[in-house]
Amino acid sequence: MAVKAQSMLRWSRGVRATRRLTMLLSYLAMVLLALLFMFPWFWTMGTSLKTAAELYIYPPPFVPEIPQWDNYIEVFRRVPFFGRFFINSTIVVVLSTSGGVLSALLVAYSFARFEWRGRDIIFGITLATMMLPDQVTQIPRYLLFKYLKWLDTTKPLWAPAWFGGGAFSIFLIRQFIMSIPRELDEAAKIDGANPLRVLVTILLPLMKPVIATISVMSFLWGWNDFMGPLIYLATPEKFTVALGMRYFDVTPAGQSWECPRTTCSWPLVSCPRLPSSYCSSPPKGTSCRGSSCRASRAKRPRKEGISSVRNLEE
Amino acid sequence: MSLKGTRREFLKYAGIVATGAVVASCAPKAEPTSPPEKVAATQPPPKAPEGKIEIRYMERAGLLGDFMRHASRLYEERNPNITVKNEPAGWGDLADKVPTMVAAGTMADLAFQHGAYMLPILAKKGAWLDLTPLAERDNHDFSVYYQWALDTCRLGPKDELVAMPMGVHFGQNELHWNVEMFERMGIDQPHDQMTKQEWLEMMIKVQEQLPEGSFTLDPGWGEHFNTECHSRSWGGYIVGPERKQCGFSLPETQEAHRWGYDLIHEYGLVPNREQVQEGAKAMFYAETMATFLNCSANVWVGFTEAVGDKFTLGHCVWPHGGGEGWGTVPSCDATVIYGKSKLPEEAWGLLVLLSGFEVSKWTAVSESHMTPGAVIKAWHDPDVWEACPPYKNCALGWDTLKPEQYGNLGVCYNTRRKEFDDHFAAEWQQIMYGEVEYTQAAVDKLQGELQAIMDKPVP
Repeated sequence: MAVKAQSMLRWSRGVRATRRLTMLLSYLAMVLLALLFMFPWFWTMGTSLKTAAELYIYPPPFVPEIPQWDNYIEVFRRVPFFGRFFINSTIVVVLSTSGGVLSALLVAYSFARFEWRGRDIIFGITLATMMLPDQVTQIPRYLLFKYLKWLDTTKPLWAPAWFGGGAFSIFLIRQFIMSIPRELDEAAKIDGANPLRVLVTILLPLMKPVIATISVMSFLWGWNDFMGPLIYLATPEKFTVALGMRYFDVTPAGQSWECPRTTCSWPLVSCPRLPSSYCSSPPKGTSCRGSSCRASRAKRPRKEGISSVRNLEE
Repeated sequence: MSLKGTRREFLKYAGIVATGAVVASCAPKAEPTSPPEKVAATQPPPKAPEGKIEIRYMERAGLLGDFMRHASRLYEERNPNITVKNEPAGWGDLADKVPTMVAAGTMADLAFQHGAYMLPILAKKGAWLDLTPLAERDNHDFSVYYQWALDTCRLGPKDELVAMPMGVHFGQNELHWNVEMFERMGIDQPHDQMTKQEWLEMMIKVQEQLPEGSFTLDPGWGEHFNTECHSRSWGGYIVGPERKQCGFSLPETQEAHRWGYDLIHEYGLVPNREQVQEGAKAMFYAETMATFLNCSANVWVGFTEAVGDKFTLGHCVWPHGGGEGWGTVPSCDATVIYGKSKLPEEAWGLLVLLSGFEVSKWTAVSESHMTPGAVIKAWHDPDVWEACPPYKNCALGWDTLKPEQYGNLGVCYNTRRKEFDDHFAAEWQQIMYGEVEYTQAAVDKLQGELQAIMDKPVP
């Protein structure tokens, strides 16, 4: 008996040691992979601190001999309103993301939960718009905004998002809503909820993953959008970050001395993406975590009748 | 009949009415539409209104457009009632932005256009104002400019002058080299009187002393614009004098191409596709390429900052002398006035300033060291020569050219430049890098395809 107990103890110690070793190796692998994927960012940071002459040394050094912190100041000297680009981009992405999510939510809800004449045809047409290349609609959209007198303003960049939010977002949300059992809606309807109440109170809390996904994607699309600002904006003070980067434009032959300053702007530009990327893939075990999400909490039901629905969230 | 309806119906009709009211309030008054027409100012336009005037100028973003903004401020100082609203755009972005704005009728009053890559397309469609009436009215002195630069701006529907030249160059025919590298190797410095054979022998000696992975030259002869210049140096051409015939299969042209092919495969002086690290210019700055053949601006602008004190730049126009031909492909940066501009006279004033001596000189001596316009006097200015030694070589070299050597713009007459260039690069590079066998059949095939592109109508 004692021998058996001892062998059991040895076995469990062995299992624990194996588990620790496995975890150690896993973390080591993840750290190495993370370093590998972060390498371009480290390289960018290093390059941004080099002189122009150091860019053309072969083999290229990873770190500069003397870090040129002045390069970052030079960015703002060359383009005094470089900071303004960030404000403009922020305004555009906040408005376009919020509008896109809200309108896509409503449209997708209609497609997913309501039966009305022509629904499927219109949904097909909505999906078909995804196949239209931007170049085809570029000039008609430009003409539309010209007639609205919106040229050289940021309205063309965010206002369209409030009219449907884009076919992809609608499709994604629709599919997600369709995966939620209708019985939840029916239970709420029995308790007297109207369709809007059902959406807000029942479906919306369950749709946090897809809302977060759409928000992150909209944010990234808006932040990276170049073509829209290029053709709609003319005054430099209204440029977004993506377009403002062209102030360090190089010719086809490649003029050299702007390169460190261009590289300086990349770390500044890439920063807002990091929290949003993190938010799009929350750690396991939490429903949501990050700057724009909150851990879900069970809320006190307003009515006795829908408490059974809330339990499903928990 | 009952007038009562449901709440849903009421909301539906109210929404329709409200939407219609919003759309109606946003829409401007209907304007009579007219089909696109070629604009040719046959008489001076009406005088602009008195008071503060704003002209829009779509110029080049970044340091290389500084001289455009400098000219704008000068113009404002000298014309207090005029404001110039600068609308910067990246070099490559102009190709997207300008056509969109022209199609929509919201184009700026003035715009920067590259003479080869951008200007021909919209000029042939009549988007830009014919400058001849304004110039004749003001008795504008065109003798101050290089005539070959002006000729590259005669691209209107009836070949009228639609732009004024700014920065000019004569093609990829200026040789640059690493002076200290040649000294270390004990090899004589290149010079403009070298024959092609002498140059070849010199480069073979250089290559023998270069380390593995380094090369003598990458002239970029896989791209049409560069190889056009090279072909003309051998007495041939790809885009013919009238810009309507393709000369790729001409014996002289093929001799030039075969020479370039041998530099890669027989002599090993030029890198293959996989061997180019970061581009030829980066290799030249990094001293893994001994020479660089291109127009002066593309090397000189930014050279000091990029190289620092690592080496001295040697430069000469080449091939030039030694009894051999000097192929030229004139090209310039240009400024145009929008054909439907409501302020053509004010725009013309800025245009004249931009292409004049004062701004031309400032362009070269300022921080960017861009090429000093098309004004002959600016290219011969001592201050410009001191600030930019390579431009001195260019100016003195161009002085030796006879009119029959000027060459023509290397762009198809039907303005299908991109289609032509892309097809040439895609097909010729396969042959040049040995991926497709270099045979007469391959040459004839490419000749036929390129001629077919040139035979297409203006899009």
